[in-house]
Amino acid sequence: MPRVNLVDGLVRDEGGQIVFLGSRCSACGETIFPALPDCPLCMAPDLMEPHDILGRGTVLRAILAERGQAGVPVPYVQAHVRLDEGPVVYSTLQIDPASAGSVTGTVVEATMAHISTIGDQENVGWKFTRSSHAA
Amino acid sequence: MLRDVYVVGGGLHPFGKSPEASMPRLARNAIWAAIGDAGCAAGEIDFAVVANCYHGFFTGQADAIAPMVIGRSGLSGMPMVHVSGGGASGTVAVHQAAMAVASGQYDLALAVGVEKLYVPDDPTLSISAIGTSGEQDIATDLGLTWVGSLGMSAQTLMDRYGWTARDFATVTHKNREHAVPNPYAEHRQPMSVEEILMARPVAGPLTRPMCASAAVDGAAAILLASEEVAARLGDRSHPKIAGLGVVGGRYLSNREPDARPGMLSMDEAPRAFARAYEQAGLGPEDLEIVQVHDAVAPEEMLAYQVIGLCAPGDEAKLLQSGATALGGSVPFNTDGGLLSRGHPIAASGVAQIVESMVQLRGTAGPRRQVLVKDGRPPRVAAVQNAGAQGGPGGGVAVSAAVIMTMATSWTE
Repeated sequence: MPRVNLVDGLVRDEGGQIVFLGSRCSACGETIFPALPDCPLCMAPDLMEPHDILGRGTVLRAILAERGQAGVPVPYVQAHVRLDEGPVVYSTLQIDPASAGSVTGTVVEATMAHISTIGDQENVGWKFTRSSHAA
Repeated sequence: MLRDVYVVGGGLHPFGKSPEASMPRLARNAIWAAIGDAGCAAGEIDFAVVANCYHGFFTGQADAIAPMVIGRSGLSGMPMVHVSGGGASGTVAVHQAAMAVASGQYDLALAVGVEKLYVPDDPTLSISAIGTSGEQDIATDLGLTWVGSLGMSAQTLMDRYGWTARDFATVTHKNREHAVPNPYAEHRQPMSVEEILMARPVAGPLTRPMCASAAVDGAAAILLASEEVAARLGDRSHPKIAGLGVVGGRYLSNREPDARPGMLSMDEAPRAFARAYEQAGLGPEDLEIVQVHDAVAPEEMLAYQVIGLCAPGDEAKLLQSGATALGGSVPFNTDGGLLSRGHPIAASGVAQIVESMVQLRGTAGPRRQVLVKDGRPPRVAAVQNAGAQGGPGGGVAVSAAVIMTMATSWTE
């Protein structure tokens, strides 16, 4: 089955540890994902420099979804994760769906994982799972 | 506003499943209903704006949406513009049409919102279509759904304000009751609060009836006119667009606390309403009827706050008082709202204006007409609508507020 990396160019997989390819402003220090050349806080061009953001953060909010996007097995947990360096990213969580209501505040790490199957194509992308190195 | 703008006609294609009708045909039905309602000659229309989000997703026809819709309605001879903006698309069309007339360059502008989302054999395709109103590469392609995102916001607000799933079911029940006598509504079967609570779960505390359906077709059209054109159309008064506030979300540093209301569709709404109130010379205490963006039930509750009708934390109290139901002091979503009238995405904002127009005219019919305390139709209506998301931080693209007023006589 053909495998498509949905997040190619957005993250780098360093031996299982996901690095989000972000940028940081040389003027104000704002770190964002995905990377941009222009700072949205300064609202000025060409201030941002590439900045690797470790794929580790804290679950900001999560919800158990019984209906989802095409090809995504249900039920699954949708979440917003605040990366340790600040940006908030969307992710599916690789956790027991029954714990969706108690996972806020959990430290999580990103890995590459199966996202959906559409026809005979498998789509992969980042998913967060409980960190084995919780602070 | 440079010139006053009047709503002189409105029309709808029923919201629901219309598998036999193409997208242009849905729009055509609403357009000619609006022209007939206005009593104008079609050739007088000198500006047309078409709101549609997903025809390109389903057919590959990414451009030429406006000439397709307008031309296949038998109209021509005016500039034809296509707009989109997720759930706010219809209001974007209304805004463009209003600005065209207000500028003095055009005298009679058509705004039509149309969406064909129902896919008979694959409901997930509708969800995927709507997913294109958010950033696909970092969110919706990875599984995020709009209901999931709004559900997470709702959970945050439940913790903050003490809202409950029963409150959401009460909003849903109320809007279902409002839709029962509305022949254009998608869902016209009443549901009790208990039935709504026990329905199939969709995301977190949200059950199926608490969420507007993604699989729905529909169209709505309005005609906006200058005072001169309005004066010779129909032997009646026309509602005026007294205030129009359309704003967009600002980037918020991820190093600062997020003090926004907490639902994407309500972000920036206080700023939009501040503009609209100032233009109209009115305040929230003057509102007599309101249509808001209840794509999920908790959005209506947050609207009570951001429009200025209650203090933060008093939303459930206002709801439970009955004030926002038909017969209350400020009824909300009198045609059933997005939840029950339906939410074919780009059509909703225009449909909200049509409902406001009908209610202000006093022509909604005995089962639906809002009558204020002295037994007359309302004279001040508000519309709230928002949609689309993107950019770092994912702010709302368009947050809109419209205030419409009705003179007691045409010369007032």
